[in-house]
Formats: sequence, structure tokens, C-alpha cells
Amino acid sequence: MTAMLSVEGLHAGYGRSSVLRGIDLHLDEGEAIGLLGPNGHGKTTLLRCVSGLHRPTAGDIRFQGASLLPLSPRAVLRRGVVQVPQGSRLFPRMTVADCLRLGGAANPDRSARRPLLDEVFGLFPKLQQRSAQLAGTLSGGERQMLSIGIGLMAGPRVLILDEPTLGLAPKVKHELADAIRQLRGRLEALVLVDGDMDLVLRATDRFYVVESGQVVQTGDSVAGADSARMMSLFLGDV
Amino acid sequence: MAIRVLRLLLPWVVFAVVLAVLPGMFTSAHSRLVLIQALLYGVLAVSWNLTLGLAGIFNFAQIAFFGVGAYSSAILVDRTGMSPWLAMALAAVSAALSACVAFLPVLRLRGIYVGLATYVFSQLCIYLVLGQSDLTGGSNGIVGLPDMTLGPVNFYDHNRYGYYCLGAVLLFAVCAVFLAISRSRFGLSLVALRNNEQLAASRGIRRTRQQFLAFVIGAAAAGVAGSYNAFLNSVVSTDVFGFGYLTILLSMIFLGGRSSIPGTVVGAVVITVLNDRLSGTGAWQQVVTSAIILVVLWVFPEGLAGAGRLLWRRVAAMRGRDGTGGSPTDTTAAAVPLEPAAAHRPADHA
Amino acid sequence: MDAFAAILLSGLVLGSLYGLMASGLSLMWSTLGVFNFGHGVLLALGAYFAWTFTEQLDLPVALAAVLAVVVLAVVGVVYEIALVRPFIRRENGAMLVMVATLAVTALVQSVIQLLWGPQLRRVPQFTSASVSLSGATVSGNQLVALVAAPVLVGALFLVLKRSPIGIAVRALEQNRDHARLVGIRPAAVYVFVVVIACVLAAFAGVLLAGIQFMTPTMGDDPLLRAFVVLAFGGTASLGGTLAGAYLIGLLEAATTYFFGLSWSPVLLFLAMIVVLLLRPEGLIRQRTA
Repeated sequence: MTAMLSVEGLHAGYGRSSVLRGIDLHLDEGEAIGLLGPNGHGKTTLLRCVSGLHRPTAGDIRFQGASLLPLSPRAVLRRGVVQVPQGSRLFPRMTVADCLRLGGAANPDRSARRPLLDEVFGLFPKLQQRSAQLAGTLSGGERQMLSIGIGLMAGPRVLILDEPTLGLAPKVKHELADAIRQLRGRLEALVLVDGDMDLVLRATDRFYVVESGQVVQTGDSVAGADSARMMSLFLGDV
Repeated sequence: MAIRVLRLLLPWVVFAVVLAVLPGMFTSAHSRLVLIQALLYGVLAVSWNLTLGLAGIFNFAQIAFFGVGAYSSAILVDRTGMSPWLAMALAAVSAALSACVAFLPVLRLRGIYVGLATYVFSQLCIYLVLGQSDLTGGSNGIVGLPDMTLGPVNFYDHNRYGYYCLGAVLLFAVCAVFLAISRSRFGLSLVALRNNEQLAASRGIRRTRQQFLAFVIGAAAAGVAGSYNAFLNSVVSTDVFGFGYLTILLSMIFLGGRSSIPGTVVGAVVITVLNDRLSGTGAWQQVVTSAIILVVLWVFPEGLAGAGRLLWRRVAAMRGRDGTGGSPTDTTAAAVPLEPAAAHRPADHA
Repeated sequence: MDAFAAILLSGLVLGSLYGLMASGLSLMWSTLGVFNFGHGVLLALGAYFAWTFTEQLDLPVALAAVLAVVVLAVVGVVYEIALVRPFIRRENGAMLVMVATLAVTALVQSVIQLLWGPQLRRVPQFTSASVSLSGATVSGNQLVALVAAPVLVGALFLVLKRSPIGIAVRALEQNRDHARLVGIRPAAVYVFVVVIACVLAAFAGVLLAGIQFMTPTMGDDPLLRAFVVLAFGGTASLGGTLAGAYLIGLLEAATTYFFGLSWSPVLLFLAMIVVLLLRPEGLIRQRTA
């Protein structure tokens, strides 16, 4: 069976410094995978390559058998590979409603916009309350919800979440973790990148550990959850 | 060691010899004038390159400093009958003073905003000159300036041979000063500020002080060039602030390659000769000059100097030598290499 | 004629013209991060095309103005592709765009000279009607300028606020990477922005060409004032830009009246330096809606 999304021997860097040194991973249909590993070791660069924001120097990224590499971010998005960036920046001087409209604008299926908006508001009722508010005035948790909401409006087949719980209070974190687990049931596939190992291992089927631009470990999330070896891997990583 | 000194000096000796021999080859009044114009433009372009190229400051007031130098020396000679030599020295001072005014906005501004403020400043100078018509002659300008003399020698004689010599000395001097600056701690600090201001500031380099110095030195040189131009033509008019000079100089600098002295000088010669050939064609002259800027920007953003470096590297590679040396007067080789902006970006989450 | 009314009228008309110029410049600055030094020659180009349409093709002024605006919209597409796109993402791109737009100014000014010749020309006024207000006479074009500037800038404001392309412009301005992740094509947005700026400049050109004689350099002065407006009004909001434009217009009219034509630009520049020194973000700070 061919994977839905696969990354093969990916190399990438900025100027003379290389960041990714041969990443291999795959995501099957109906699956959720997690990416773990210390900050600054290539996770975000990997996601930028997948979405077409950054050109890798070697290797390939394939979605349903076809390479994503020659595609623009817009074309990648329209195939259903949707990335949700970390929400702390967002579009600070735009209203929540405009942000969600923006998310739906690239969705090829115009008729899906209304039901998708209802779905987003169902998942995050707070967004509906704050619909007329500027994104810059939202709390950290609400921004993450909005960022995810924007991604959902595009009608994703694969949703890629980049650090959705970064810097959030534990209570808000739980709220988001619940939402992510709900999402997992509705989407075809999910990629979760987060510093909270516990969350990643609970919300995904398999995990990859990325260090120094390479996959240094991979395994089943459930089995990994109670592995002492896993814990030791992250000692010193905050 | 001796070889290194020789390698450093040789291009300058060649440069001096070429400057000395040229007037013997071009003796007609017209070709001599073209030659002198190339010298003048060369001085101006190299002086501009100090801020625009080496320091990377968006200084678009250089033409204004040139004009201020021209007008102040013309007014001084016209009103007080002062010696042109003294007036030329004072032109440097007044241009430097006007640079202090133009620099004011740079204190708080960065990058393209500086370009905006200095551009507005240079346009303003035209209004100032037109407004003070009692002093400046308004749109008529100041005419009938005396020729420069040195003892019994009138610079106009023998097809302006004296002007040629003075221009050659000025060009040689401004190139030498540029090189000395680019090799000095001062010059390196300018390049460091250009490449990464925050890093440079964290190492204790004071931005405003260093950039101010570059501004004033460049302006003083432009002021001298303006004064030279005034006596050479024996008139000044608001043309000296005009768009014509701006495009001509920009085309020289970009054709030659920013922050390269040989490139800029070659650019000055090429554009001057081209302009001379087109002098009867009216507006076509400016069409060609400005088109050259655009074509260079599109096709060869590094200019002739970049092309030269590429060729040098190819040749050196074919001879199996280390090709990174470049020509000794090549300031970018002496400078810290320009990192692509992306290299400063942290690879992952900041 | 009542001095106050004269200053007010002249200041508001100037402010309207500067507002049309400065909103385009401000939009380009906030979206592309470059100042368009070719904005003045775009104004002149709009005026010359309008003249051609009225004089050569005998069209009514309003139609000629519309056609000139359309032509300049096409010019805007070329302008973006030739002068902005090749440089904007390069290192030091802002300086390259500045030099390119300066070069194209010289180029187009000379081309205008070659194509249309050096004769002094004027575009007919939109209407020969004039209104007398407390001693000051308002000519047709002045009236049109007074009305058109707030209407057009207001329309631009609404487009930015409500239309999909407007939301895309604002999104790109606020967060480039995220904007690309939601499928916004920066190139398309840039073309849109440059076209809008060209259209506004062209319209200002048609108005100005009815008030004064046309020359290839007729846009230089309004461009210079528009730059001063940006320093005053900041670039954060169109409202601030328009307010800055009226402020500069009134300041210019008042200083011209009291100190004379040659001192007015000097005083404006001094005011600009003071503002830049004290508040580099602009005198009128405001956030976009």
C-alpha cells in the first residue's frame, strides 16, 4: 500500500547551513503521526518544505503518489495538504470572521464553506462569540483555535498542526488536546508537531523523533508512551 | 612580502600611468572635454559609492552635495572675487555642512526611509536655489566664472590641459581615499553595519557616528567635484541638482558594480563616451542611460565588477589556482563577505 | 478675495491631489515594503493619455479620464512585472526597486518628450461650471478633486476591508508566511496593489492637467509632497494618510501665502525632518481596521 503522504531523503537548508539531512517518513490514510524532537532541529523547516514555503535541496515529498515539490503553497493547499502554523502571530489586525473567510477563500469547493464554518464554530464555540473581534486581541488559546479554524476552512485531507499548545496554560492545553482528538476522528490524516510529548503520544498512532535534521527514532505512540527510554530521550529538552 | 606590496601597488601605478598618458592620446578640444567629463563623473561616482555601495546607506542626496559645492564656490567667487582654489576648499566645507543637515533624518530612520528623506532633501535644494535668486541667479544661474589658474598657467589653455590634470589628481585621490577607508577599521565597521546592523552594534560599533562620517566625507568630495565642474564650465545652473546627473551617476555605479572602484571608474568612462555619442539626440540620451540601469539591474545586478570577478574565477580555476583573491583594489574581497539574509535566520523556531 | 477662504480652498485641493498620490504610495509601502519613486511619472503618463484621448480622438473629458485610468492599470501590471517582481525578494531589494523606479522615471519622462513633444498642453476641465464660496471661486476640476479624493480613498478603504482581494492584501501585509499557507499568491496581490496605485496616480494626473500645464515632470512636485505626507500621516492606515495629505495641503497653501512660493517647500521639509526625528512612525498613528 502506498502512503498518503511521504517524505523521502529530504535535504534542506538556509544559505550554507544545512538543516535537514535526509528525512524519511510516511503517513497512511486514516493515520495520525506525531513529530517530536528538540526545537531548532528541523521540524519547522520540514513543514515549510511540505507546504511549499521552502525549497529542499534534495529528496522528494509525495502526496498520493505525486510530488508536491514543484507546487506553490497555494497548489499544495488545494490538494488538501493544509498546514496550521503556530498561532501566536496570526493576522493581528483582522477580525476573527475575516480570518476564517480568508481560510475558506482557497477552498475549491465553494459550497463547503458554510458547513465548514459551522463545523469550526461547533468545535470552538469561543470563536463564534469573538467573531467580530480583532485576532490580535485574542488570548493565546483562542489564537490557536483560530489558527486551526483557518486551516479547517480550507477543507483539509491532511491537517498539519505546528506547535498548537506552545506556551499555553495547562487548562487551555487540555481544551485544545480534546479538540485535536476530536479532529483526528473527522480527518483523513493528521500530523501533529508539539513540544508536549504526552499530548503527541496520546493523540497519534505513530511518532517520529527528529534530531539534527534526521529521524533518529520512530515507533508506535502507545508503546512509546510508557517507555522509559523515550523519557530519557527528552531529558534536558524543554 | 615584497610581492604583496607590489601586487597592491601595481594597479595604482598602472592607473597613474594611464591617467598621465591619456591626454597625449586625446588632444582635440572635444575628446579632451569628454575625457575631463569622465574624470568628473568618476570622482562623483566613487564618492557616492562610499555611502551607497560600501556603507549601504540609501543616500540619494549626493547630487545635492555636488550642487551645493558648485553653487557655494560660484557665489563666493562671484561675490567676493575669492581665489577659485580657496572657493573649492570652502565648497567641500559647505557640502559637508549640508550633509549634516541631510543626515538629521538618518538619526532615527533606517533603510529605505533614508532614501526617501535624502531624495526629498536633494529636490528641496532646487527650490532653495530658485527661491534665493538674488544670490543664486535663480533659473538663470551664475555665469562668467573665472578659470582656474596655477601661477602663470591658465587651466583652460591647451585644450583644458590644466583641468584635465586637476581632474586626474582628484580622481586618483578619491579612489585612494576610498581604498584606504575600505581597508581601515572605519571602513570595515561600515561594512559590518551594512551586513548586519544588530551584530555590529552588539560589538560596540556606533551606527550614527560611523555612517555620519561616511556621509560627510563623501559629501565633501562631491562638493569639490561640484566646484571643479563650476569652474570647468564657468557657469552653474540648477541642472547640477537635476535628474540627468542622478541617472547618469546611477548608471555608472550600477554598470560598474556597486562598491567596486575599478568597476565604477570603467562605468564612468563607458557612460560618458556613450553620452557623448548620443549628445545630438535630445531625449534619447536619457532614454539610453536609464535603460542601461534597468538592463544591468535585470541581467547583471553585480555589474561589470561582478562579471570581472566571475571571469577571474573561471580563469583562475582553469589555471588551477585559488581564485578567491580577486583584484587588489576590489573592496568587496577585502570586506566581510555578504551573507544571504536567510543565513542569519535561525533554522527552526526562533 | 478673502485670504482665509483662498488658503482653505487651495489647501484642500492640493490635499486631495496629494491624498490620491499618497494613498497609492502608502498601500505599496505597507504591502511591498518599497517606495515607488516612479509615482510622479505615472501621474504624468495618465495626464498625457487623457490629453491624447480628448484632443486626438475628440472624446469627452470624463470618458478620456476613464480610458486613461484603464491604460494606466495595464501599465501598472507591466510596472509590477518589470520593476518590482525581479528585485523585491532579492537581498537589498528595496534599494534595487528604488533605483529601478528612479531609472524608469527618467526613461518615461524622456519617452513622453519624444512622443508628445515639448509643447505646453492642458486637458480640458471636467466641467466648466464654477462655484463661488465666500469670495473664493472653485473651478470645475477643483470641485471634482475635492469630491473625488475622499470618495476614491474611501472606496479603496472599503475594498481593503470587505473584498476577498482586500482581505488578501491585508493578510499578506500582516503575516506573509501564514498568508501563503492559506493560499494567497503574493505575486497576484502585488500586481493588484501596483495597479490600484497607478489608477489613483492617473486620476490625479487628469485632474492636475486641467488645473496647470502638462510637462513630463509635472508629477515631481506632487510626488515630493506625497512623500512628505507619508512622513506625516504614517503608512499604517489610509485614514492617517488622507489626513496627512490635507494637513500638508493646508500647510503648503498657508506657507505659500505668508512666506512665498519658494519658502513653502523648505518649511515643509523642515517640518518633515522634525516629524521624522520625533516620531518616525508618522505624526498620525492609527491602526488599520
